[in-house]
Parts: sequence; C-alpha cells; structure tokens
Amino acid sequence: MAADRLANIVSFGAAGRVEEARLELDRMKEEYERQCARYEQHLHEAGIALEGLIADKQSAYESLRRIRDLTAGLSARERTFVSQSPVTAGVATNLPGVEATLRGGDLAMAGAKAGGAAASSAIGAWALVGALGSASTGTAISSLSGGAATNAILAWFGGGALSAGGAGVAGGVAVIGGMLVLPAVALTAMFTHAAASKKIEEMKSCGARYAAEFKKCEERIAEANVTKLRALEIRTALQYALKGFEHEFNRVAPSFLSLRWYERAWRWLRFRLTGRRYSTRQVQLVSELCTAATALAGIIDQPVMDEEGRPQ
Amino acid sequence: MNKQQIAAKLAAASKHLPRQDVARVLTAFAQASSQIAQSQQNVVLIEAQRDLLVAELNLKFGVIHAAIGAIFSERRAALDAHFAVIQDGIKRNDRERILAGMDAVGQIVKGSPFADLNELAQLLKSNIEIKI
Repeated sequence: MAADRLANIVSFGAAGRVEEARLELDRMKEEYERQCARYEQHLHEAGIALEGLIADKQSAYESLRRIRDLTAGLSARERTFVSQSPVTAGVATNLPGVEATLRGGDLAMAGAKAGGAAASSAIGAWALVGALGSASTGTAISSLSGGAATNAILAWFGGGALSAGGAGVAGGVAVIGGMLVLPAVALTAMFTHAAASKKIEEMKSCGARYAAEFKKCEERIAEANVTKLRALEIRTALQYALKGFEHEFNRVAPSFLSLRWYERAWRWLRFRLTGRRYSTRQVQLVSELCTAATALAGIIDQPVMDEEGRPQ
Repeated sequence: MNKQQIAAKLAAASKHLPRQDVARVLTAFAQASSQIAQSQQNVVLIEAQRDLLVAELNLKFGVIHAAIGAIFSERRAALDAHFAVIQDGIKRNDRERILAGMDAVGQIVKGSPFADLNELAQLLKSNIEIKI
C-alpha cells in the first residue's frame, strides 16, 4: 500500500491511473472467463442431449426395422395396396418413405460396425443431420464439441499488449537533461502522464476486444442452448411416437410372427396357390402398422442441425 | 511584482538559459501534451464504443434468450397435449387416437423453431464494430 502511494507520488499520479485501468481490464477478463465457462457448460449440456438423441434414434430404428419381417412377405400388388391405403387420422401411409428411413439407418449402423471415430461419425451424421454420412458432416459434428476457439482471445491477451509504452518517458528524460529543476519536474509529470495515457489507451482497447468477444460467446451460447432444447424436444417426441408405434406393432405382430405350424403351412400353401402370403385382413393390418411407422419414421428423419453444425 | 518586473526578470534569466534547450523543452512539452490529449480522446471513443456494444449485447441477447424460452415453452405445451393423446390412445387401445397424436407430434417437430429465431436475429443484427 505504502509502495503504491510512493509510486503514485513519484509518477505524479500516473501510476494510480494505470492501476485503475489495469483493475478494470482484470475485471473484464474475469467476466469473459466466466462467460467462457458458461459457454463450455452449455456446450456440455448440448453434447449430452445430442448423445441421448442419437441413442433414442438408434432404439427407434431398431424397433422400426422389425416392420421388415412383415412387409417382406408382401407381393407387389399388396405393396401397392399398402402404399395407397386411405389416410388415417391425418397420416398418409408411406411405405417407400419408411424403407428409405430404414436404409439410412442401415448405412449408419453398417458404418458403426467399422468401429472407432468413423463409427460415431456415421451414426452421428445419420441421427443428427439426417444425412447418410459424409466426411464433411463428421467433421462438423466433431467440431461442435471443440470450443477451443473461445480460448484464442485469451491467448491473444497473453500480456504483450499491456507491456507496451514507456518510450515516451525515456525520450522525455533525454530531453530534460541539464534543465532547471522546476521545468524538469513539470516535464517529468507530463511525460509520465503521456506514457500512462498510452498504456491506459491500450488497456481500454483490450477491454473493448473482450466486449467484442462477449458478443461472439453469447452467440455460441445461444446456439448451444437451442441445439440442446431442439435435441430434447425431438427426443421426447421420439419416445412418445415410439410408444405409439410399439403399441401398434404389438397389436399387429402376433398375427404374423407367432404362428402355429398349421398356420405356417396354410400360409405356404396359399403362397403356392395364389402367390400371396397374407390374407386380406393381414394386408390390412400391415397397412395399419405402416401408417404408424410412417409417423415414427418422419420423426426419426428429423435433423437437429445442418452439415455445418447449425441448428435446424 | 508587476509586469515590467516580470519581463525584466525573464530577460535576465534568458541570458543564462541555453536557447536550443529551451526550444527542445518547449517542443517536447507540446508533443507530450498533444499525445496526452490524443490518448484521452481515443480512450473516450473506445469507451463509448465498448459501452454501446455491451448495451446492445445485453438488449439483443436478452431478447433472444427470452424468445428461445418462449418458443420452446410454447412448442413443449403443444407437444405435451399430443403426448397425452398418444398415452390416452394406448390406454384405450384406440388406434385412431394414437395415430392422430403421433401425426400431430411429427408435424410440430418437423416445423423448425429456428425460422422465427433467425428472423429475429436478423432484425437484431448489429453493425457496431469497435475500431481499435
């Protein structure tokens, strides 16, 4: 404290001005660091929500693909019938659409079998972007969990900018050599304050750069927040739609999958005689299940972000 | 001491002062003074820009965060209503209700919440740039 006062006296108050500006800059830096930590927290939460969504989409895909056990037995004419079945409760059955959703999932899961980073990239691309998987998509997703860019500004503020200044004092000292005492004191004060003003200006510039970075950080926080909220929204929607689909599947499947030997024999015989495996009632049931599958597939296909990682 | 006396004293003192040094001192003094004035002007400018940016930032992101909260709350309320329809359909084994709920949920989820947000962000887009 005494040293500060002495420095202030010796520098004619310039040291105090510089110290005040330095404290203000330190406050801004601390605030910026707090904001960076806030961003990291939002990013972490978004990451958890996205991971949960990927897991839910995988479960929904596993459940949905069981419909193949039923649709595989449809003849071409029956497929047409299923595809053209009337709209039920606002849902138009779209069997080719369901099959396209399943093909997308197949590709992602096949990629997953490759293991390593490529696996998570393939599933992530399918679940989050809705694409069938591309290198650029994988990069964009992986870059989402980076966040290293936010620290660049801190590195930029590594201290260099604050150490500038002082040349004016040296210049002033050289000029006043051999002068009368009173003007020398006046000049020392003048040059000390000139150097201090320069330092203060630089510190204010740094502070303003922090303010500019706050803006970028806020944008990233908003983006991470909406990504998290959107992922949670799709997750919940998917969970309920899956419940609905599974209820429908459990209602329909026993007519196809738990057949007694004579039922299987009758199906085989019918196929030999008519080229059809299913009865009209069974085709109707497949059609009904496809309607629920169409609604579920629509939610599975819903992307959370585009290929650049922007929320969708 | 009157003006004449001061002038006489200065005239006497000037005989003892090296004229070149006096000129250098005065020049340095003027330069330092100008430097201080320039720095102070820059500081005022930077502070004004910074304060404007911070104020704009608080306003803009206050609005954006509030809009995000409102948009997702509204969507969540609509989704909850349709989740209840699905649950009810399952409970009653009512296929039509289940499908109606699933379809409505799908329609909400397919409608991007970001269209409105992007429009809002465009409206709030700032052109403030700090020149430093």
